[in-house]
Amino acid sequence: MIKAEQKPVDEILDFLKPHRKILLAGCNACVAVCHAGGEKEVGILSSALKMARKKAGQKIEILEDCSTRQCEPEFVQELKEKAEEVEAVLSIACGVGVQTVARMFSDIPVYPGLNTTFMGETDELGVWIERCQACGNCVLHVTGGVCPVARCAKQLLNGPCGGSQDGECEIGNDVPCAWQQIYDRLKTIGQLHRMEEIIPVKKWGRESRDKGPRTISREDLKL
Amino acid sequence: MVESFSPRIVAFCCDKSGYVAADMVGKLRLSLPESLDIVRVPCAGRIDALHLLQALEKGADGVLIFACHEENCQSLTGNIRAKARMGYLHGIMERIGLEKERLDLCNLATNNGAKFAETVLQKFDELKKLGPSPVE
Amino acid sequence: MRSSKECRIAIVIDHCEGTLSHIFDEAMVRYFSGLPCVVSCYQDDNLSSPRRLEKLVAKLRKGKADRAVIVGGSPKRYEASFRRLDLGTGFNPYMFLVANVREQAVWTIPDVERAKEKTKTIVAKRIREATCLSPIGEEKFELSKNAIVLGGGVVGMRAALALADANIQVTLLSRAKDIGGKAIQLTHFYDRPGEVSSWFKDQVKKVKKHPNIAVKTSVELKGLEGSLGDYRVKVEDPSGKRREVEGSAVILAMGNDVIPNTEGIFGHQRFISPPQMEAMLADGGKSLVTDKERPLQTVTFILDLVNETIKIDSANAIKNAILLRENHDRAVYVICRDVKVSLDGMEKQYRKAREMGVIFIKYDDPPKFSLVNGQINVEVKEVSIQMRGDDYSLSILSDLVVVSERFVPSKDNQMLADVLGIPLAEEGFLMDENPQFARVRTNRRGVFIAGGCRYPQTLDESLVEAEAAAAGVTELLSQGFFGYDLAVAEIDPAKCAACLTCPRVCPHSAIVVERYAEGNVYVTGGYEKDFRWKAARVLPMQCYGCGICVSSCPTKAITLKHLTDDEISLQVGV
Repeated sequence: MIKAEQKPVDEILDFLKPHRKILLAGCNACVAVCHAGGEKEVGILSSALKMARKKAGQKIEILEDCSTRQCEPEFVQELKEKAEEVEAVLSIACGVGVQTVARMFSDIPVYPGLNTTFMGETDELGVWIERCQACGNCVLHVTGGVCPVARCAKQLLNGPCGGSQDGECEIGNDVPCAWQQIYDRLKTIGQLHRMEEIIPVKKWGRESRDKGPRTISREDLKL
Repeated sequence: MVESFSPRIVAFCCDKSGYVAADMVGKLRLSLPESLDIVRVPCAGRIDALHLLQALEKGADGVLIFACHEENCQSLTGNIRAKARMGYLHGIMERIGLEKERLDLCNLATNNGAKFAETVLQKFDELKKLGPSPVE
Repeated sequence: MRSSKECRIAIVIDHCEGTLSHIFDEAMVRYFSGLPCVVSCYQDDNLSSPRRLEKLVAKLRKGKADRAVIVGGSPKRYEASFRRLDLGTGFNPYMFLVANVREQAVWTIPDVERAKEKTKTIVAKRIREATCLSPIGEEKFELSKNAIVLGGGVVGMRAALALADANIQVTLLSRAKDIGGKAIQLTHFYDRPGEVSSWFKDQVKKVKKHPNIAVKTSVELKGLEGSLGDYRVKVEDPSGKRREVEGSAVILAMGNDVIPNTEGIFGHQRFISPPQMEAMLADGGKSLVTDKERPLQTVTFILDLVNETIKIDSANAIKNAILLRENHDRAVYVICRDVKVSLDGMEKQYRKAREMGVIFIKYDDPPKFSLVNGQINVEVKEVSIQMRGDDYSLSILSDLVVVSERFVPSKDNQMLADVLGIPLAEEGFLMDENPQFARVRTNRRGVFIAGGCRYPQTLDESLVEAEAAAAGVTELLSQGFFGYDLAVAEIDPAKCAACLTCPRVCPHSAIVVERYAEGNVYVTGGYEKDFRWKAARVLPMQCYGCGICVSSCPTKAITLKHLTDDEISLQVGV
């Protein structure tokens, strides 16, 4: 899922400076799961912002709300009444949610309260690791379920570089070499021959943004 | 007037240690500041980061958590969670210019009445020097 | 919060046997009566007496109030009595709040006038909080009187016997072909006359003959699931056939494993393990004589190379050292870091051993061993009598050296910890809920631990644990039902994002994620009406109401019924 972390409060305070009444909008989906933008964080951030502004002698009024999912226009629409009352919206959804809010409420500024970081899995409670970069052309069937795009520091597609040592990547920090992991995994499942398969260079268009934002269009689902 | 400033302290007390210790303060007839408010919680792990901030926002000059000794929590990690939440909030407090000393934790046992009183009074003096909360 | 019209609060003033009378003067009572929502005011001299409390409840029922604030001493003073009140007959115990003015105002603020002011503040706050109260009910379910004991060693046997005597049907599961376990290796008790073997045979016979015990041997543990009243142990017999054994409660008594120390020189035949030593003494010392009829003269016990925090080795060494001196007149050395005598009667035994000429040597650096003419030379630096930097290096030529086996957690521990959510202590032994108060209870209701799976201890201590565990189970099952009030956490499935935080933080494994929610954050419509989404759910009979999940939930989907966020918010305010 999408993982995000909160921006430092002072940074948020900085761009909220001109405003006296805002809507702080959270999202109860991905960012709630990673404890960055759910209803709880809305409360914590709101309280911190109010205190900071009180201290600065410039009180701020904060309306709070938390959408079911901020990337759906219908759910964002539910914020409309509150949005009409305020000067700006501070969204602590992922970058997607912030943009949905910005699109729906086109006449007021919308600020991001989070840094959307990556798509990842839960390693343990409170620890998340990047696992997917949405490259648009999955190769996990060749690489034994370990993604070289997200997990190799150099994003190498065809085997490790010379910096792989004792299973570790040369960048240090105890980062495992993704290609070592791929090798070990393929060996375990008896598919070592996959190592010899050449993964071709990524295709322009589906795998990059040179044709603008990527879009998925399912004719069978469209109304 | 600094002289008459009596810091308001909210003390969250774990029912398994802090609250009993607070009761003991009374039994020992030790004095506590009148401006101390005791909030009883079933476990220090019940204390939400939000509650701690709320206390500060609603005008407390200092917030204290009284939890069981580490590795002695009846809910295994309640006291550790409280400590971790305090650490998280210290980070936020630093960024909004609120002194870290305004939020503190004390590990004690049920029979530590004297320690309870001592901790509160120490915090009381510390806060007195620090002055009223800037967000009041 | 209800509007003031709906709440009707009774103020109950407890004079605490007259100690607070000077505070509750007329003016104070007037002040209380004038507070919002207060409809009545009662006074009593000592409410901590359950009878007085019952009388009060009778009065309250006749009156108009639907909730009450007791102004008096610590809530701890009243709460035990509240819980004893029958929920059906009167006031719900959760419709009471206590304003602890005795400990928090009268006793801690010397000045009476100021104490009165503080009393007013505390009471006013509690009145506000009282408007948030709502009654909390209770539930109960039936428990059949049967239990499972895992482990056929002496600990399991003793627990099974204790349960069976209390009229509980017991299924005793043993991995070995026969029950008994490792205790048969012992020959003597350290603290009393009599041989272990006769006592042991007697125990086995009792277990096998008891009508309330069903023994199943040669079964391998494969899993354990369920909750109090409905635990199911999965076992596999040698033919690979699996089956389930059911019980309302479980006692885990699988013991611990041992790894003999045979590496390097320890593999030499003159190094033996404590059980081998026991066996040698068991045959009246015949094997203490070698082939050439030459007796083994010097016996050295080496302790604390392993199991440094476990006292079994010390106890056994002292016990056997005495026997070697007393019956066989051998020279005996005990080399250790510390002599561990924290056992019933052990200090006397230690003293006896010293008086009989057993030599105790303490070391910091582990002793060195070498072979000299077929004997073992033990080189050790004695530290307890070291003075002025003198070097007391000793070398002891021994005919036999007894080295301890390493006690390690049973291989089942990890699996049980995983499936039951019982935490493991540092070394991998199953963790008790509280080492002082709840030593044989785990964090899971209905699961008890005793003996070596909790921690390796001497036989007597483990047997006491077995009895304690059996007593715990008996207490749970004796009434035939388990009643619990619903003062627990509750999850709103509509708000739950199924982030799994709460099942991960729950210290009592009381939260599961199940398909029961009518919707969740991923619902966009277009799914079948009966479809249920996954959401977290609290199992109320497992929940201890600590509230950790509540404060961890990122979507604020969890409420602690007896202490809601609203109530805390009202308390932290001015």
